[in-house]
Amino acid sequence: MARSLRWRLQIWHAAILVLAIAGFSGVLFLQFQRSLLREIDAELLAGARALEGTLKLAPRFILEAGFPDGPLDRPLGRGGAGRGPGPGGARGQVERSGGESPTGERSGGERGAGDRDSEPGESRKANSPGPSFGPGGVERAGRPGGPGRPRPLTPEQWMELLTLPRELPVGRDFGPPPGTPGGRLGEARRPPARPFPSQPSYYSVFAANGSLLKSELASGQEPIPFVRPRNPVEYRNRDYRRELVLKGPDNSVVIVGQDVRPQFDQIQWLGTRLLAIGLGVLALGLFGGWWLAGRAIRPLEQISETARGIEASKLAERFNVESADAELRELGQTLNSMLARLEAGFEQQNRFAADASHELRTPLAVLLSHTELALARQRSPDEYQAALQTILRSGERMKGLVEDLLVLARVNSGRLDLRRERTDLRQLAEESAQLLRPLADAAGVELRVVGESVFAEIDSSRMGQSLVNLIANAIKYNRPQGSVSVEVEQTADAVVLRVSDTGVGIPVESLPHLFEPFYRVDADRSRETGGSGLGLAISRRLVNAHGGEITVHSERGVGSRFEIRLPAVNELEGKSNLAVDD
Amino acid sequence: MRVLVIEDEPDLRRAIVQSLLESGYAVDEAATGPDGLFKATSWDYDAIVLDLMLPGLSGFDLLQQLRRERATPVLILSARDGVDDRIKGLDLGADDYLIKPFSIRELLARLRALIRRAAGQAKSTIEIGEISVNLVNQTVNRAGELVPLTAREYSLVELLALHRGKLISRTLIYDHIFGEDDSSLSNLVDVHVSNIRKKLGAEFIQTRRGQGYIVDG
Repeated sequence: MARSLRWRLQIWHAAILVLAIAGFSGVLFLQFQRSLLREIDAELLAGARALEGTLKLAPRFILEAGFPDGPLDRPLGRGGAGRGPGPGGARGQVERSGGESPTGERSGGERGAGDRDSEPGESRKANSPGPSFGPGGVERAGRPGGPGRPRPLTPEQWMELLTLPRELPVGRDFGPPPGTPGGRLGEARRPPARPFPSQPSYYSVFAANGSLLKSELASGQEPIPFVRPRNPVEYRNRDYRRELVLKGPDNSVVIVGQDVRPQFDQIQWLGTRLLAIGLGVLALGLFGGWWLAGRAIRPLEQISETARGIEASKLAERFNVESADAELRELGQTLNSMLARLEAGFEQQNRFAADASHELRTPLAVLLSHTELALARQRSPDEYQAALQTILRSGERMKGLVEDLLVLARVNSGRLDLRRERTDLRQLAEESAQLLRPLADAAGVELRVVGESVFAEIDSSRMGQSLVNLIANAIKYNRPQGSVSVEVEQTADAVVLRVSDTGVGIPVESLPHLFEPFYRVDADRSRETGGSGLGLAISRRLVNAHGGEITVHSERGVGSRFEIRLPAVNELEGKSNLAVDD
Repeated sequence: MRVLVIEDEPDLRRAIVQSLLESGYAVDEAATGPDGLFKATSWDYDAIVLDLMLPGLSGFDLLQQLRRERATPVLILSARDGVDDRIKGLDLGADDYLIKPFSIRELLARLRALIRRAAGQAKSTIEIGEISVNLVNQTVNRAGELVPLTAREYSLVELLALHRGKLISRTLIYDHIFGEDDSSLSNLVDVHVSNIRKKLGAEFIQTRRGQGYIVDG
């Protein structure tokens, strides 16, 4: 399970799923809650605005300190002489009983279709400047359909007026513009109304000092405690009740509330449902995810099953990609091509090892058979000497082969360190030719070196080895009285060593394999010309190690031309390199 | 017994030829494929030692062409140790396959076995009356006593014993006992036969006048 892909996928999947479900449910839940409460909030605001409008008709001292003790028999002029007699909350107590009768009435009220756009409060506000207590005394507010000259209101009338409206206008464009004299609540221009409130409401109105002005509560309901709102309008939830606290004129406070237990129940019901459905979806998602992850991983398991069976000796096996999906097919194909490369590499290695051992077998056979023969019986000193010489020859041949193999292995593995020096290639060609002159003379082949002095940054012994290989081949595969020429040439971007012969040439089909180890143009090679079969392979690798390349052109019966092309050395650069090396 | 060695590596060829000669075989040698094929098809050798990597004509091709004409026992000598090569060689008609490097003694033992089997003789000892020919040690016993023979004499006894009951012509004896380099005189066989009769008893080899010799006829 540690770092199991399936488990990690599962965990991520679970996390994403939980986030998605929680986010979705949360949004749904909040949206539902908001849509439910918005209607109620609108109603509360409308009611509060209505109360506020009525409050504005009252003189300031009442709003600040409540009704004074004593009878309300005199007109209460706003800004009049009696300004804020003592605080008194007794009136509020009396009014509480009045809340009972409207409760019954209102509960029968139909819950109107939510008209969210209506802003009843504004209409109230717009109308509020109309009827007022007025400076001359209490005026009577215009009753619906009751036009006429405004009269001052008595406190009782005012108290009666200070209540929630029975119905609300519907529609946005209602109410006359402010200041219009005829613009009163309940005029003909008013749009059709709907019953208000849609469900039982209660309210309390407080003076600024906290004394209760009026309160209509549901039966058995605790009195609403006084609060001083910080904002003009505040909504709050209290004991399954939605309440609005409004800052009225002169710091009076209006609190309107509705019992929202049904809505809360609905919200709770939704919440429970969402939780249950969410958990169900989560479980389903997790199960599905687990199953999907397993399904996605199964081909991987198949691949690993196949891979487990693949060993160095069984590289021919391949992954079955026919039935796989696109991504896995790609993986399978990638692995297959890797296997193919490995197989080719191993094949090459095996062939190389087989060839190398094969090359070693013949001299070893000579060595062993001559030793065995010499030891089989008593021999003359001459016979022993001949046997030992043969054995020595075989040993030397094996030694040469082993050295070639070592060089090849070293170049192949990149462990060959070249001791580069500025070398005259012409001189190198002369020396190499000198070394092979006896061979050329024996074969009756003319050997000559052509060209000016050309300098290159090379390891002279390694490059000499390559050159000797090429010249020796040119002599060996030449015709009698043929010739071999070694040319040294400087071109714009390279220095060239060219070994041309007048020999038998190389068949076209052999050219691509010419530089492979142990490759022989004539598979049944003849002893007198056959070397280890590594010469050209070594030459090419040595030249490549110098950053150069070796190419061959050949024509049957005309001859072959091998070219070593080395990067030209910039004179200055070469010197600076030398300086660094020193 | 006459053996042809086809091997292009001179040092190895020399060692094989030398050891065969010292074992009493008549030996011919060839260094190239075409030369080897020519000799193998023109003489009736008792066995052929054949290298696979030959200039001019590969050992496999040589074997294939040889098998069209002769059933001479062939021992392939090769540095190629691949199973496929061995199978190919044996399927092409080789009777044995020996991989280089090899022990000379093993080569000789295998050749003996080849020759013996080719003559229809499964055992390595041939009993004819009181005479017993040991093909491994190349010794002849008469009534339990070791009889000293020269290499040539032994070869002749072996040839006759391997083909017991069959008439062996003088020409065949020349072909099998004497190599191409032997400058043999015409009465050389008679001399050898007379020497053998002195050692193993006059009745061991019978003469069919004008035809040849026969043992256990």
